[in-house]
Amino acid sequence: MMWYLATAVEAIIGPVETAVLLYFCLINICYTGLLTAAVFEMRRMRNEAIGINDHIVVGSRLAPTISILAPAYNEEATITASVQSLLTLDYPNLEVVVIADGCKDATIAVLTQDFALVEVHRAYSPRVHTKGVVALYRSLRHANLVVVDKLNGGKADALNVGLNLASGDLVCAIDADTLIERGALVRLVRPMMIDPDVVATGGTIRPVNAVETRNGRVLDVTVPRTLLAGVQVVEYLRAFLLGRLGLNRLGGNLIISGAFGLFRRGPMLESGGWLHDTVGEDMELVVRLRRLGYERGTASKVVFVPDPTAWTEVPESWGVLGRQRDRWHRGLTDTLWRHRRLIGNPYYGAMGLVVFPYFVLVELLAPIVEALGLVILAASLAVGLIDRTFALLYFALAIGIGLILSVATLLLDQASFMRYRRPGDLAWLVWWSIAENLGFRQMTVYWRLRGLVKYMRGRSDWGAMTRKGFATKTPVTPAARAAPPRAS
Amino acid sequence: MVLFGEFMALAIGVLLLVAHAWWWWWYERWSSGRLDAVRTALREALAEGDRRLRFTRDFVRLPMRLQIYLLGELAPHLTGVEREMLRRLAQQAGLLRKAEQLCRSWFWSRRLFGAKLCTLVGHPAPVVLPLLADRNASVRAQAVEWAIHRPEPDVVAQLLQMLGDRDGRCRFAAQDTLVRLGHDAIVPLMTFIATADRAGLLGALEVALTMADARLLAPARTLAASPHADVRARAVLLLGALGSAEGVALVERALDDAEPSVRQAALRALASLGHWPAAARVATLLHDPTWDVRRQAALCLRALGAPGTIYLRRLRDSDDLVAAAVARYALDLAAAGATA
Repeated sequence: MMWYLATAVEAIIGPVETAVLLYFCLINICYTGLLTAAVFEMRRMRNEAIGINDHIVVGSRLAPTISILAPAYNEEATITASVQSLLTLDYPNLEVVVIADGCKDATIAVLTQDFALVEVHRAYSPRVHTKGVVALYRSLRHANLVVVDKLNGGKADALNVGLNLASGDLVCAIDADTLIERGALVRLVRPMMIDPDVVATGGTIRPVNAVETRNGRVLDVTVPRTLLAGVQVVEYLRAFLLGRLGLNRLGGNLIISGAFGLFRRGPMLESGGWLHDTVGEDMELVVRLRRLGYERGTASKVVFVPDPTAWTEVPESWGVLGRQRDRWHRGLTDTLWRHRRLIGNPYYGAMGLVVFPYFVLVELLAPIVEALGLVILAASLAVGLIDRTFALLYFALAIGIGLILSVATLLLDQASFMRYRRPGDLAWLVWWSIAENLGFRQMTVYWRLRGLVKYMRGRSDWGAMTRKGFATKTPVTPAARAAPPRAS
Repeated sequence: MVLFGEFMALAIGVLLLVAHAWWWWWYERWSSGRLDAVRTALREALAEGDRRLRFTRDFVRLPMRLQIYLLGELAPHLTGVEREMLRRLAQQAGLLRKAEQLCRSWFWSRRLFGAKLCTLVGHPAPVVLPLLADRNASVRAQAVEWAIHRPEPDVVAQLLQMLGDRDGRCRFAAQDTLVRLGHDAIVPLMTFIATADRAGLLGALEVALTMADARLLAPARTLAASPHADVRARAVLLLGALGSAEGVALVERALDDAEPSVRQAALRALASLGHWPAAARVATLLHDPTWDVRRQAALCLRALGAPGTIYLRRLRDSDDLVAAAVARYALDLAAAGATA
């Protein structure tokens, strides 16, 4: 009886096992290729950076104008510090557009008090369709600050309102609670100034948890000592320095993080801005911009720049993290499905032939194959198809390759930027690289699979995201809650 | 066997990481004291105008990497005699000779580094000149930045040719350097404008607009009739920056241009001129078919002072809802004292 069962299981498992093994080889070849490309790209960018004097751009009237779009939702406690840090960024021609997306708290009142806002008449051209604008404000103290109060419509809608109101040549989309380093914009704008074919650029995002900040400035960088935040530091480094940097060389990126990305305003308006009906609006926008660039023969390159950094808070609870990962995977699936005709299409050059297939095979299918591999391993062990030693060795091999990639990324980061200067912090990073394989990675597989299932069921909710907040909190006084004055 | 190889790769990676961290920790401790001492002495000497450079010995003893780091830190903030002192210091430390060697290197990153060093200390070495035509764009851009130290006619001519460079970094560096050169670049710029192709012309007009020198009036007048809309728009903006009766007349004429971008530029030019007699004509553009022109017309009226405000108040109650909205917006901005 046992023999029959084993034969039946073997007949099913055999081909699947071979496919999983082949996939395992393919995925690791891809990662090794990305790592190699990332090393060369980092070297090129570091060499080029020798010749770039940021102070020349900062001091030049010829630098392109940038409008920062900062959507905010119920951020009364932190909005002042966030806006203050945006206004003091090192960039000569800067406009800050804060979009209060139907805030139910005193966000607008706090801004009115702290930046001396006055209401001005709502006159703008709604080139991208959005929900209604309630009021428009200008600051008496900062000529380059625009605040808009609008009906709640989500982040994409808020960004689109900002896009309609922006006057800069370039627009920089950020999250209101993202902390941008002072010199980041100058570095982010470089590829746009160098090459007119670049339509968007993105910088590195690092977790701000455990980093000491004051008034929107990073004072001291340490590695978090808690599992979830610590593991995400390694994960973010791998995603940005290995994945996105490597893709720069292999056909360009498909993702610019919604927390920190710079775009040319003209193509953005022509493309219709951010989509409302997707949870992956940042990736969808980038793919659409690139696609339209190819189809119309206009700018279509998307460049990741590793040295400008924005700091953001990452979830520290399993529930919130799970919802975030599930949403990310739904967004990825949705974008790839919407633009499915790009897969393997030579009309779209390297994007169609290399980058898109990579995203489908490696990013989209990875959780399915990884879960399948784990199930097969368990089933094979149960019916005695493979012995425990072999299973352990296979498991160790898979983990070992992941570890090598993580350590190589840490090396790349340390050799280039030296963000984590204490030897103790490096020890923690190595430990988190090991620890992520013991439960965390398996959980991300589960969350991503859940995202896929939800997508197929048509779910498009964001899920509640709770944050502790890291920006300097300002107490809201009763006077601040008074209605803002009108200009005339 | 495979696992052993994997383990070895991992061990080497971790070892490298630890070694790098340790080296960096040691290097920072080792260098910070020396660096601080030389930095303080250098700052004091520069502030007091000390020509003997008594700290030279300490500077020369520093590793080259730290010498360059110090120069990079100080140079952007120094000019004139102080900059010259810094250059002599670099010469005594052998940095200038090294920079010249690097400029001749086969590797672009070394040439770039050499040009960067020469730029930092303002070393007008002839060896950097050929780098203005280097095959690598980064090197070319750096050489352009260096050219501020050699404002000779042939160098300026080369900079002007780079206004049409395909690489944006070279174009930006050339524009910026020409603006910084100021007076020395005006006459060559006028000559260049007379013969340049469209790409070069656009870059040149941006430089001219930033310089706003009266001698550029003649080329601006000619280019205001260019067949290319983008050239016309920039020429009109330049006329707005330069003024003159003839220039104002041309700007007013541009309000009737078929291209919205030119009409918009004319409105901006009139606003910067504060030419209030044009208020009535500007007010009609609040009914223009293009949104951006309407908005710009409202902002222009606001900039024209009392005559413009009168028109804005009249238009606030206009039947044309868009004109009324932009008029109210401009009036609100005026009351708030904000810019657009």
